[in-house]
Amino acid sequence: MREGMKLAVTLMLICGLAGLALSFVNEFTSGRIAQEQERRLAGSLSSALAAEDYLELEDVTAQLREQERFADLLAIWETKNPAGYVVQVAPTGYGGRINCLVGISQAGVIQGVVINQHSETPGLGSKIVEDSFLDQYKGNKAGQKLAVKNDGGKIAAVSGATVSSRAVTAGVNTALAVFEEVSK
Amino acid sequence: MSLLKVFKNGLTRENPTFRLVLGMCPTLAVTTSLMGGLGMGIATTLVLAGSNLIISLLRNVIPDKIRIPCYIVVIATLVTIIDNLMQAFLPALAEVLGIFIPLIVVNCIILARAETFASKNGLVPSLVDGFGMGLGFTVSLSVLGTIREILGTGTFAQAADFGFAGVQLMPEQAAGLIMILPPGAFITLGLLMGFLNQYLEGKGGNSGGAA
Repeated sequence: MREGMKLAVTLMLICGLAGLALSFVNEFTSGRIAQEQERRLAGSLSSALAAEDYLELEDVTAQLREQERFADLLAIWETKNPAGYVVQVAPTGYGGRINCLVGISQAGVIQGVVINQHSETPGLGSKIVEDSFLDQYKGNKAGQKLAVKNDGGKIAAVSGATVSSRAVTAGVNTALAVFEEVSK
Repeated sequence: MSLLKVFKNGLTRENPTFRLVLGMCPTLAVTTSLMGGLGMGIATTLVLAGSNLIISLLRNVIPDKIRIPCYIVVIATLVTIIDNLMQAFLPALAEVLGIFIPLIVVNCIILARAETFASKNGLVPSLVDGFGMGLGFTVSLSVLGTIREILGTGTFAQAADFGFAGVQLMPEQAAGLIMILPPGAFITLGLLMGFLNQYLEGKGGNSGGAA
């Protein structure tokens, strides 16, 4: 019984120390991590659609998200100079959600697609971040439904990663539909 | 055992991948390219050296009966700390290694070295063992990754995250996609393991795994 107590206390002490170390590190790094993520998002925003000002439309996002077809929508920004929208969507790929930003001009033309975060298979699905794949979306207009070649569309999927390519395409389609709603 | 012997141990005779056959999950999963293997190897080496150091420090404090839970707490804490520090101070690296870091917790090489080496040896040998094993793991994963990348996609050292397209050694059409899919991992690993065993047997080593 005494030995049992001793074991329990030792384990408790080690866990306590571990917890202490973790909370210390968290205290020390969480601010910087949040800053870093913000900086990343800002970078992604400007490569989706380079503009002077980004205004997040939180209410519209919340409203649209109530509809099932906009379940993947994360955020919308209205841009000024040039005017347009950046839509953040998170379609489900092969290894989880793919967080992408789609920049759309006021005329409804896709200006750029950026993958902000993903967990697709390294070496296969991870190639969706490459320009050669993403540039295919540029210039497409709202009002159409994009599809990968396997599904009769014109987007050439990354070889060996049809699921990931389909997911990005679905995300872009959602973004275009969002654009049609907000620009009405 | 001399320190040099301890260090070299992880490279050949007790190579974690090909001889101890430990940590197969990350090995098979991330070696689709050289950069994937190298990244995983480096991250694992850091955790391995750190956990060996701490376990060795605590080896007289931790009671025998509850050593495994203690090791797991230490390892998980260390991995989380490294993950947080990397995200805060080396964001570019964290982005590349991001998916590997949580995988390290479940890599049984770490626990195996804590149990079989660090808990029985002093600070310096444990640290050396950690680096040796880590280097052995890194080299093994890099070799696997290089072979699979070249045969599977035709490129060498492609690193999309760093904006480096790699060297195209053969046309992509000639590459066999199977090599970067799971079967390619098993085929490559099996063949390499056989060759290393053959080589060590020729040198008069024992043929079976060392642990």
